Amino acid sequence: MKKITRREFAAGTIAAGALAKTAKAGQFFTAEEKPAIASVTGPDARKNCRSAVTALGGMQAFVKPGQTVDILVNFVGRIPAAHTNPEMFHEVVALCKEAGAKRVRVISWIEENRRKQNKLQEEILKSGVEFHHVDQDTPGLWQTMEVPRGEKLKQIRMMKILFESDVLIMLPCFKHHGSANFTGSMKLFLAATPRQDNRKFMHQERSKYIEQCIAELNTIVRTPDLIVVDAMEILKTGGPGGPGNVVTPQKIIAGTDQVALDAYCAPLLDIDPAQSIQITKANALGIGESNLSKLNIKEINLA
Amino acid sequence: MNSKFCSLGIVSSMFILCITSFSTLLYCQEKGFPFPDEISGWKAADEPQFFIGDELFELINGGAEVYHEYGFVRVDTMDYLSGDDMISVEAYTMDDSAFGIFTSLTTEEDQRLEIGNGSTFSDYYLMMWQGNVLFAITAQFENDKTESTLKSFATTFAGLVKPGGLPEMIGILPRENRVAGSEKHIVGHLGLQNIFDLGSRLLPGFEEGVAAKYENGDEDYVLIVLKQENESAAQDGIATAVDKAKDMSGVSATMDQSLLTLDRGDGNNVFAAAQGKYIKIILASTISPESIEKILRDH
Repeated sequence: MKKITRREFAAGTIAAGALAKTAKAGQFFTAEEKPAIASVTGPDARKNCRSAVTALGGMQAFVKPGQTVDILVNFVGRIPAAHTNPEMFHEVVALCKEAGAKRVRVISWIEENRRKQNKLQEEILKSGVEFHHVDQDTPGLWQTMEVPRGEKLKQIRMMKILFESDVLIMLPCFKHHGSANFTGSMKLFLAATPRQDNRKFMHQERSKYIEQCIAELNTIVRTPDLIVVDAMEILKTGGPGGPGNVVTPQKIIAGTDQVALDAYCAPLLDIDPAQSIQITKANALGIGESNLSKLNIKEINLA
Repeated sequence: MNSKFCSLGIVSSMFILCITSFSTLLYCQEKGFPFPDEISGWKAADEPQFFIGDELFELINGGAEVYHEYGFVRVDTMDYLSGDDMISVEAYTMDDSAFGIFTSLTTEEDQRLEIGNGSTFSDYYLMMWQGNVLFAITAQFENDKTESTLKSFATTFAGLVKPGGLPEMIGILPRENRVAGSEKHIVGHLGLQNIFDLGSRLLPGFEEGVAAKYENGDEDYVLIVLKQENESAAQDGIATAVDKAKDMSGVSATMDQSLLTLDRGDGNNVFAAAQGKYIKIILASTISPESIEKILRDH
């Protein structure tokens, strides 16, 4: 089945018949009814997560039986607010399995000694989910990609596996970042580029163009099938690894448009999306929609 | 022959410096931070780890850049254990005073302490600067002993490093109505960005800067002072800011008798002017023209 890109869906080019194949009986969504973003607030990360994904059509809208699902997470930092919420992770895995995924993997280049410093790694191991380590020093695992629309980012290596996955689900941890102002859905793609390239290309000139590079990076990445943002606890200062002040919005936010999700989450860090270089550049590059007034956003309160 | 004597001289100097350091301040950065084996019943978990220069990226990825901006030299890390509980310590050595990076990572909302040259406590972590070292002391679990335990760690570490002084430029900030603990020392665009999100886009260059928050009745504002090379550079900086503001959506810029006003449309306005070799910037939502004039023209 051809991968459906976000833009095709938004343009309504999908035939009603094809749409029906992805919908569970009794949960038929038209392009007008299905929200672009589902934001759930409540004290229970697992319930929030399930509710958010259900609002988007359920995991079966994104994962078909027999498929392999690859997951990108935020591993950095020991502080719970600095890495992806483990409970949210567990729920995403459970949803994938309920949808019939044959295989669920976490993919990362982060070395084991760095990963084992936080609870997320511990929970991944407990979950029994396959961990797929992409060694940064093995050339065959990476492909060098040119960035045709990049003004500051001209090239970067990305994991080959990212483009081979049946389904890509991203689980960003929304938080402050000392160089990029914030880490959100777009920036999580740095988890698919090796540390050496991040340093050299993304953080060039002491991170002077990091936000622009994040936007330009997103012009060449594989479109994520689903993004579930962890905003249960947010590191408001001291990011990306902390320590820093932590606030607790208790939100899980799901969607498929990384630009829209970042625009929606930005105010949680008192950032105006219209002033964010990451968001405005990405919108200008046509990666996604930052004008939330154009989107159908569903907000659910489970508090 | 001469180069051998020079090398010998350098090595001897460093050796003497380390010996001297041992007798007076105990921390010699060539040897790494001397973490005690035990502090208040907490035992050092293992051997310390250290990251020097560019290696900091391996520890904190993109978070490393702001440390480099402030002159990062090395970081030494150690975990301390007590039963199942853990306290993590990171000691960042900077090439000069650690005051700047300390101010970049703390806010006036953190509880101020009287340990070391300066320190704050917030929920589960304590930040301290002493001389050229920044300490980040983080508790894994929060309980009613967390604060006192972290303070004992900080007191121990403060005794191992020679105290330092504030950057001279801090003296430029008016004292009246200044919010204690809000002072910032800025040395690059990341530090400026942390205070003023449009700063590095409007004002691409400066030599050094300071900032602080002020509360004066109904008027709350942030004052930023950026030092330029000379008076001409300061005036050019304002002119550049006007040009760059024109390209920003949602921001309207006006110049009136050398005062630049940026209306962001959200109630948060920016006022800037050159004064000698300094660019002074006020970030405020409600402030009178008289106050602006006074602040920007004060020497």
